[in-house]
Amino acid sequence: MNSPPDTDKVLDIRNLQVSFSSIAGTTRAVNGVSLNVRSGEIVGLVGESGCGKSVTIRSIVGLVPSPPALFEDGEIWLRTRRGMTETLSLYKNMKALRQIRGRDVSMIFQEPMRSVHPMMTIGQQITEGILEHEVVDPAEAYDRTVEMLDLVGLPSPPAQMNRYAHELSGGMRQRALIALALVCHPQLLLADEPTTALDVTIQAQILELIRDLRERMSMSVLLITHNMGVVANLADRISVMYLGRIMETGTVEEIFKEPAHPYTQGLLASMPSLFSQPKTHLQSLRGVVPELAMAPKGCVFADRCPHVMPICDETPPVVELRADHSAACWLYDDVEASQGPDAATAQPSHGGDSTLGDASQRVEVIPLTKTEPAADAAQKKLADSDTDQLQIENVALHYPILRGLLRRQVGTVRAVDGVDLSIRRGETLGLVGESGCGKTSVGRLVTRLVEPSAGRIRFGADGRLEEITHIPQKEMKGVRRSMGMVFQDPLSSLNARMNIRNIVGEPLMLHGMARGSAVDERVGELLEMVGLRAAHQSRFPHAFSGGQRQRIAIARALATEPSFLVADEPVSALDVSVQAQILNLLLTLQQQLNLSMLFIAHDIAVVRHVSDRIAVMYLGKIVELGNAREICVRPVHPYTEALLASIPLPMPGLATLQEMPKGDLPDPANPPTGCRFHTRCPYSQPICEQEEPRLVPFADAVDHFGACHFQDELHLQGVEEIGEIHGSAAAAGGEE
Amino acid sequence: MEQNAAANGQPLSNETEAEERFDVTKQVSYGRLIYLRFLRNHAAVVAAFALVSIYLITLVCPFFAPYDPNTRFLEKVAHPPLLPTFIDADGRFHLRPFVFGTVQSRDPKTMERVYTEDTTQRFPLQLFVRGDEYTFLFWDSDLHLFGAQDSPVFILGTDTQGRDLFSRILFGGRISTTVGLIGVAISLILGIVVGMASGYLGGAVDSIIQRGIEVLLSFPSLPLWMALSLSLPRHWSSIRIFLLITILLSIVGWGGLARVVRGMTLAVKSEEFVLASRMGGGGTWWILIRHILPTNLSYVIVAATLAVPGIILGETALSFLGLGIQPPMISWGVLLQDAQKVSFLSQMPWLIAPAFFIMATVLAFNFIGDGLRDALDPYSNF
Amino acid sequence: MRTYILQRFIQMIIVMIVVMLVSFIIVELPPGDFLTTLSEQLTEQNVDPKVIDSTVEMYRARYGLGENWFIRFGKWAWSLMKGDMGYSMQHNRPASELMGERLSLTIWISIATLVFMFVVAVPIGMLSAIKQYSAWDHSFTFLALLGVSVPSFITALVFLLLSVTLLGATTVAGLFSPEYVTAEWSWAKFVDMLKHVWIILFIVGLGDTASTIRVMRARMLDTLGEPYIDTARMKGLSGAKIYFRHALRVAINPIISSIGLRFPQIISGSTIVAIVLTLPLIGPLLLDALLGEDVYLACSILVVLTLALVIGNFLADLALAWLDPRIRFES
Repeated sequence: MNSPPDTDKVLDIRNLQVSFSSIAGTTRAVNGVSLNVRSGEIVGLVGESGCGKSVTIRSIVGLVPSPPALFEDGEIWLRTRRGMTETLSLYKNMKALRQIRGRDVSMIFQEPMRSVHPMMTIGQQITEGILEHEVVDPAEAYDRTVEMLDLVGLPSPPAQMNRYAHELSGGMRQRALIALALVCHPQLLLADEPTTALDVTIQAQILELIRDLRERMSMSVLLITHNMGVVANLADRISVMYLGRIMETGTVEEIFKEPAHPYTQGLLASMPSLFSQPKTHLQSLRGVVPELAMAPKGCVFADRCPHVMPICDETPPVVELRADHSAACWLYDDVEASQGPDAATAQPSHGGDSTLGDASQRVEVIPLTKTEPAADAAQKKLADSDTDQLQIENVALHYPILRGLLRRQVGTVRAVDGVDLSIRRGETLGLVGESGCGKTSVGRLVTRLVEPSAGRIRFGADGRLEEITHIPQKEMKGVRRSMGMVFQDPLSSLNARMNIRNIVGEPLMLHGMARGSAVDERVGELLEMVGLRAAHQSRFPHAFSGGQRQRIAIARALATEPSFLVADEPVSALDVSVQAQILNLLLTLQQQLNLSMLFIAHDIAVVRHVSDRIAVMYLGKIVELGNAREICVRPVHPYTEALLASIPLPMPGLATLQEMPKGDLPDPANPPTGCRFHTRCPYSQPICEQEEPRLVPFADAVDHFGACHFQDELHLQGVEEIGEIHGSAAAAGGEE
Repeated sequence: MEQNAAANGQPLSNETEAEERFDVTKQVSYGRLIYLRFLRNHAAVVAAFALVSIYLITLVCPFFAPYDPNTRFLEKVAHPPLLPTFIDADGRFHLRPFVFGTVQSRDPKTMERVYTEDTTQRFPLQLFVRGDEYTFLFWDSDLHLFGAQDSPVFILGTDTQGRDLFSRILFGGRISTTVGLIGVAISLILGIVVGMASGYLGGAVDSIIQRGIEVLLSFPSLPLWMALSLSLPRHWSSIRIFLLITILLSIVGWGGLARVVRGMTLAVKSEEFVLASRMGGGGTWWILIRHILPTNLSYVIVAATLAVPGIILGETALSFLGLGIQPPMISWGVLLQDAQKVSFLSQMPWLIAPAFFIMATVLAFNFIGDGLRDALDPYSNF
Repeated sequence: MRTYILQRFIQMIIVMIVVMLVSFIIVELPPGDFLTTLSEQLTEQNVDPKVIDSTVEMYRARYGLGENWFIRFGKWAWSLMKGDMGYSMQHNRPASELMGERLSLTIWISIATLVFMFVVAVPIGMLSAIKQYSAWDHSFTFLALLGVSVPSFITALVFLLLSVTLLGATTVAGLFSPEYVTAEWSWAKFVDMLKHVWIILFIVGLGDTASTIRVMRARMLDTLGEPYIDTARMKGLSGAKIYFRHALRVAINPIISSIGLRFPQIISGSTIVAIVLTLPLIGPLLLDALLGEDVYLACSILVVLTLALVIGNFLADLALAWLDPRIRFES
């Protein structure tokens, strides 16, 4: 066992066990992880937050501080220029470890914004790495750095040499960090969630860069991520990790087409994809990721597993299903010998849809107090009152940029710049765009949490639309009784000093709708409506997990029985498996209570899943508006096309767009002239620089608008068409 | 720093036990969590006990002090400390501590007073002795915690006028520690009101307030206090001077607190729960009082705890220079005035004793402030 | 960069004006008519009544007494800017003459204390952070807390006590050996001062050094937890390079920017220490002026000290802008 592995492996982790001692006792964050990376291979390590993937990857290079970490067992073999080296044993020999870092193995990190030194130039930081490992004169180091910056696609590399971190955008910083990591030509690149903090279009660029550099520099990559989509089109092999253990390992095709482990199946099913049936329940895993100390004995997934058996109390064996596909699950123990009923249900049949089909019993049941307004009734009501609940016309939000001692205005940030939207009763309008496009501001404008700089907002609580653009806050309070809002960060949206009863009951008390024990009663009702226990209302927010807190936030938003709900990125801070639960809850509640909803998110797949119509926003403007499915099938604006193409889909082998949008999101204080997207648009023509296109109907479609000069000529690539090529997997989406 | 052995102890062997503990942290309020974390910091807990004792003792100082601070023992002027002992001149052990008598003489060369112990005289210490009369609140008494019959007990010696230094320190402590509390209370109110207004209203109000605080903080505080103390009329009663000095100290000291509160308010203002409260119908006052104030409060308490020493030291320094509390009122600074003169100090080194009381009090405040701050740290694990 | 300097400069001028205004108000605060006090004092000193009258008249004209407050302020500020610090009634000499050397010594000692603070606190704080929870860290964490809790005048008193009881000194340790006290400035006098000054730096700077150790330790710990330190580690850099080249320059920033707040405290400390140890600094003069109700002298001292601080603050801002590219490119 202690012999070095065969030479085609760049990295071989064997039975790694890492524990952390804390006040709550000792917990094993990494529990017997085995993993290898071969020459020229990209391996993805996927798992939800807190599953130990970061500790695993950092252990390879000794970046886990010890104490508190305790390396109890295992070996990590790494191919270096001196042959195979066991790195755990090097921890005591820092000098040897330092020689490996940056030269044989490099790493890029999750937060490019904070991973570049703020007070050293990019050039200094990169040449420093060369000079550390090689005997070269500074001039040569300089030249190599420039060359490397060019290779990672930074524009005008010599100019970048003298720039500081704060002068670069997130995407550019990540490129610079990749250059820094690869400048000494390591054989292995470790990537710790390299794109999580970036916008989707930038994420697509960085992933493309990693793929490209792997070829050019003939290196291997170990990439960890929580997003199954990211690895689908990048990795050759995937390992799925849960609570410190590897659940399943296999080639990318097998993992996605024939996931064996119930956890992998659940993860895949809970991701809204661009092929699923919109507005249907996603197959979510039940429960939440438990705290490490609370994990079940035996199989750690047992408490959330739909196939749980008595034998799961014991540690499951790692079963080799095929040459390169193994799963740690009792279902496959002795696969050939017994084709028992349990194994049969779980054994995925070919085609991929079975994972969804057999999992239908897992659809989450939400306890409902009011069951009367069935979907039918809601549908009928919608048809009856097909009127608008909210209309905004030409609404703008401009922030002055003040500089100097006298706070003179030197510019204007046009966060929202002339937006028209309407939301019908009972309808969900999805608003999608990248960070800084102004989508959150729209959500705050319609609720008057910020004051509009221009335009009109009209809202109808019950029936007639009334203008609320400039009504005083006192009147607005009454209007807000019919509005609810759910925020992005479940940690910051609940006041940690208040218990749940006071948090959820606050609107009730403020509107004088309940007092004393009536509040308790109503809060209990609301909590049960969102799937929590009424008895928990005396607890404080810190006692709940992220998903539960978001449920509490939803309960608060619905306390005053509003007819309109603004959901501002309600799932982006949640784990994948929990995200599906919250989306399901929102869909159920919307149908039950006949809510109109403005659903804001950066992920077009999520938005498509819950919305009737979608508005795509770019730099303060709506660039496309239309039916949710139609927009995805036949986008009319190049930006929508780019967004769709950038979404990492859990579909290996999907062809990607030839022309991806270039560069970064421009500064909203200084938007490009003409069409704001022209600086990044692959179809840009001279007219796009001069004339600003208006949002006009697309061809003869009734309800589809685009803001592109060439929308009638361009034939842009949507998604469902691609999906159909791949057959039933896509279409079978979420049939119930 | 120090970890509780019980909590750190063995790995979790018993699952239900573990669950219970997790449940405890789930049931309790945020305030209680902080309290539990604070208890883990032993130094801070000890300091808290010490501080409570200091305040209690100085509050009822007439009882704890053996004498009235103005009682003069004319034949015991500049008497060195006389510590109680258990063992007499013959080496015999006595269960009840006692002090020896002393005899005054003059050094034939320097003509200085010299006190020599007369080991034949033993004065046993007694508890609950009747002595100088005093009024505590509305209650007249002459009961003192300890003393000795027929002989005075000077555990910290006497000053140049023959007054018991220990008694004077206790009485002086009452003023000095009270100045700290009242001063911080005033600073706190000013700091919270101005800081919250500055942070929540923003814009021009914020700019003006911030520039003002900057100016305030750019003055060297002690010379400013000294100059301001000029404006206090000399003929005023010492109680009015005392109050004015306190106000003066807090007027200079609130700027730092206001900055802390403003920073917190700004941070909290953009928290989503504040927006959520506005969505739920909360107005400015509701949000300030229900959300921003409670969220700030814990941090403000830390800042206030750490600000008390500054005010105590300010008073002490001013009084030490003769610009603060005026006799006959006593504070620790007033007592230290005597130690300022080298000639006094060389003959009566015990006059520096009040300094150690000041240091103990300040140290206790700093330890508690540190402990509270660590307990509030959201990154500390529990 | 240029706009930043200009901005800071304008801000400094505004602060200066406000400082002068506040000081002026303090001058005006004391009850009783200043001229009456003056003539009473002069009468007590048995000055010729004619001289008294002319002196009073001179003050009335110079400070515009009896006129509007803003005219008075203008005249006072104007004469201050011309370097006229007013006239000490107690000493019957111009205030600037009295301050002279004391003022420059005070400022130099304060700057030296600041340097002392840096030189001592930064390495200790840094090492404490690097060796967190080691014996070194624990002892300096405790010593620093102790140091923060001891005001400088008590340190001075304890020092006085020790030198009196242990060394049997009868006179106070000053800045100079007795033979140099009144001597002209010379190299020998300067060397003599260096021999004495370190103990004063220690006494004045103890509190601020202790608190800087605490700040440095905390900032260094924060910085070492930053992702860009991981980036540096992954380059294969040695510990020393990471600590000095990467962490230190970020961690030290708040300490430089806090000079503006440290400096007033050091001046405060030096004032009272100088009084306790009777050093030829500005402190004893200020106390003297205050006790003697020598209003103009006291206020001139206050203003001059504060203005020195404001200028020091400005210089610290410039240093920070020079060190930190984020500030340099801000506007």
